[in-house]
Amino acid sequence: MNPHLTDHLTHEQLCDMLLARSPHPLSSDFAALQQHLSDCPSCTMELANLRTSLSVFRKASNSYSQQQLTQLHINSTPTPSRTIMHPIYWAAAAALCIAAALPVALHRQSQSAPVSSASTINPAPSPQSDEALLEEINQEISAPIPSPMQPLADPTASSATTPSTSPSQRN
Amino acid sequence: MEPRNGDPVAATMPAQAISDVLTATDQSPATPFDDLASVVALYEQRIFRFLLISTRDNDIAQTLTQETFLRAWLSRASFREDCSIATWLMRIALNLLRDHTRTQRFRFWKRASAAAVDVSDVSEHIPNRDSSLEDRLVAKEQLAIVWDAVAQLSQRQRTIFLLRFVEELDLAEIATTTGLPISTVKSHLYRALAVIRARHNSPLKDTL
Repeated sequence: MNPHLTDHLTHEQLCDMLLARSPHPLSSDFAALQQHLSDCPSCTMELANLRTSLSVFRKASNSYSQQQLTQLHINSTPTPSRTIMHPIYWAAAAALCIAAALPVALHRQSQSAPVSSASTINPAPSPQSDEALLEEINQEISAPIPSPMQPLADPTASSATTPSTSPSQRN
Repeated sequence: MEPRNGDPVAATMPAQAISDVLTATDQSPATPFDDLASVVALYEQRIFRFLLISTRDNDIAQTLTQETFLRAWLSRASFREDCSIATWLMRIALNLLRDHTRTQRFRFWKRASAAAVDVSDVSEHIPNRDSSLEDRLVAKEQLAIVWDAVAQLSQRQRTIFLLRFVEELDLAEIATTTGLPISTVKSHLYRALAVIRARHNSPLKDTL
């Protein structure tokens, strides 16, 4: 279609210009299109605006996607030094150690308490304590009458003889 | 075929790990995908970019990118080199994207995802930071117009639009990647550009 016959470029002609599918530079159609664009500021401006918009869209998309992919690569690659040096990891490790050591300490404490009480009830025999105990027993045996069984001082002691303990009376 | 846009980023661990583990038991003939780490280093940026701008979700784009290279490696025996590696990878990515966006789960997470990409995130990456404030505002507005217009496109129109205007594939490459005739590709591009033009002209009409 000859653009001179219409007011402006047709949509297909404009699209072909955007798609870089314009007619061959030596063809008559190409010359007519160029002539129309030079004469029509409206078509020239619209074509330029569309080209600029598409170019901005392409460049911004490229730059954004490239930045996002780089960020994904950075995030997917762990950095051990930074990770290990993070204070929260040290705090977590300390808490873990305390949590592991606490039950063991409590268990030891609970075991040591009965042993000490048992040792007070049944102390381990020592030679000195044995000798003292034997000495005490010897003293008690050597006593003529145990002090609790000594007769009471009775003023009527002459007639106070029990029948069961006096065989002379029975005979 | 070298990537056209951006610098290749270092290969990821999953690709290397997959390659190391599976190569030991592999008996298939040699393919370019045997060195998966190199393939990932060359094409990951492009695949990720396409998936990120298509889904507008970082997590989904990352997952589908890894899935693309895994699928490519697993089916490398079927790679006949009748097309470029980039085209083959893009075809796999397209199929994964199509399968993923069909699910209800995607639609739910699309609404609720915290990894969703907003136009304000992308607008911070508009080039020419040394330009004037007015120029930057105009560029920001132009980006927002295209960003919103792309969201209005159908899945197929959006795919073809992004392949042409972000990945800068020519019509024949788009036709090979999508499996559509060139005339159909062109038709989708015309419709997509009609939406862009309409959004572009609407602010002007409002001010006039």
